Amino acid sequence: MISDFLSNDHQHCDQLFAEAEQKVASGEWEAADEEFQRMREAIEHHFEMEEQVFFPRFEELTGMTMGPTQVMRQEHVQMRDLFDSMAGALAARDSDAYLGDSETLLIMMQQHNAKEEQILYPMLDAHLQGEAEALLERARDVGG
Amino acid sequence: MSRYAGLSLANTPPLEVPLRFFLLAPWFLGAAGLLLLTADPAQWLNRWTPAWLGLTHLWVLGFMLVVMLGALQQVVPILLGSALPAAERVSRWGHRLIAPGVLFLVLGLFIGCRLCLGAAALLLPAAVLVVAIAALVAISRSLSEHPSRYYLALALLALMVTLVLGGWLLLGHLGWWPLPRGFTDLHLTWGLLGWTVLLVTGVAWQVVPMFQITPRYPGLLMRWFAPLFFFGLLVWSGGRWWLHRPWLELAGQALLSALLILFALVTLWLQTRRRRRIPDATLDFWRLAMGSLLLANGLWWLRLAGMAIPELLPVLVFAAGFVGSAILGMLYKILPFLVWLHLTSRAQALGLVPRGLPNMNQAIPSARPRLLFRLYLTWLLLLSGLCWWPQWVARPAGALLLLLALLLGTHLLGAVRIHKSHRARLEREGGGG
Repeated sequence: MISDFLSNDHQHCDQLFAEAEQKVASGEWEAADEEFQRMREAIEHHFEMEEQVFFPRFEELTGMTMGPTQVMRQEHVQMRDLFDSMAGALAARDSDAYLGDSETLLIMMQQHNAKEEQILYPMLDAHLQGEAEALLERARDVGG
Repeated sequence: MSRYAGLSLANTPPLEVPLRFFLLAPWFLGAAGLLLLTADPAQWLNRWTPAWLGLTHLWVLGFMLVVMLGALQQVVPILLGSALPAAERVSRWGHRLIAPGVLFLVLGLFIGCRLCLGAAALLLPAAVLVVAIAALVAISRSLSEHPSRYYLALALLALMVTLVLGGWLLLGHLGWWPLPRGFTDLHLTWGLLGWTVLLVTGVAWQVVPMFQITPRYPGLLMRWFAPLFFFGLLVWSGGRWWLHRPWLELAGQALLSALLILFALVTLWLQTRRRRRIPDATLDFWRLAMGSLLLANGLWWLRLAGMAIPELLPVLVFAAGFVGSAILGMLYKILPFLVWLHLTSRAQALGLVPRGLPNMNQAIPSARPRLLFRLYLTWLLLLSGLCWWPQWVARPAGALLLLLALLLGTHLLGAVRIHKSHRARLEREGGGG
């Protein structure tokens, strides 16, 4: 199931998010750099799987190009802007700025994930059922 | 395609929609503080005095209901992916009706003004119906299959029952028929236990794991809590008010209490397993809420077992300790996030890079909810003392509640001011570019 795969990936990203935040909060800056990078790459990979594999196919099949997938793309942009701001805070070793941004990212990411997991992913499952395996394989290779 | 017709995942309503409700609440909290500060302390010895009736309605309607209706208009679109129809108009009218409605009701109950009660009997049901009907339409259109969906629907149903019972009591106060005092507990039960618990739990299933990155609530609990709870409410109500069967009443209470204890324990357990480990006032507020819920249950049963526990104490611990804490914890998360979200979305719409926009901690610095939490905890202790030594604690509790209202209002307004100034800057940059 596409929804299971993508929902599990959300949880993996959440874990990396919490680890990066923890390192910043405890002032372990070098480890924080590393954890932040891991989190950013994981989330970016997740976005790319959706934007390059699942969303285009869904849009093609349903004709909904300006619908929910478009909104999800816009929210990806908002989260990418937060990553830029967090990277700046990390480089400046400014924990207050980082933690303020990460708190914001957390809520943004969670409400985004909730909408995907409860509404969009079941739609993906329903429409992409027949080709799920092939799409999942392509998704795993994205960026790799 | 037709089943997706009502679907829009970008349907965050304008900031003003929940905000005007949030900003109203501190005024009523302040009024509750003033009442505690100025009323004759002897009035707190009996639950039927004008002062108690005024205070409870300032709290449950002016604070709890006002914030919860505001939040409902925000969470339905976000958590269920379905916008309220005519969201802006619904919010504006709901707000216009509820503010004078609460004021008139409290004046009516406190100074015995019959005209005020009559006005409240029209305004309050109208306010609730405007928001509730719009929310029910949105819920019915939602494609979400998350249990939260039917929790919110059942919560609104319980709110309607509360409203009908409240209206019945109000007409009794107006002299239309003998005041049915026996209905007061029924009214209280459907409001506090029905509407409040179903709304709080329906939201908690989603936001507790979100805010602290905890494991999810067990699916079985989420699916069965609401139907069993609703059934418990019916059994209790039936046993007490229609069938006069004490054993049935006890069975209903036991079921409700067991579910509440289970909810509190599972929430606390999930929070111990949270992945996010940094200090967070919202977590403190939620733990206080769950601790209070357990305490309220314990006090309730000890009182039934014959211990000399004041009648109102479990209710106070529930309404202020559990509900009040959960509401404050949520408010301090929701508003700063909305400030950021609306500014970022506006920047995006204007084609601007969202640089220099305030993050949540800049919209409301984290020291503020921390301070409020400490003061609130102190106030809860004072409030509990009201049941034993009103002559000593009523005035300090009133003064502290006034301070809490002032701080909450200032914190919320601070976030609004930040939103306003950044919004103006974005419009300038967007217009100039």
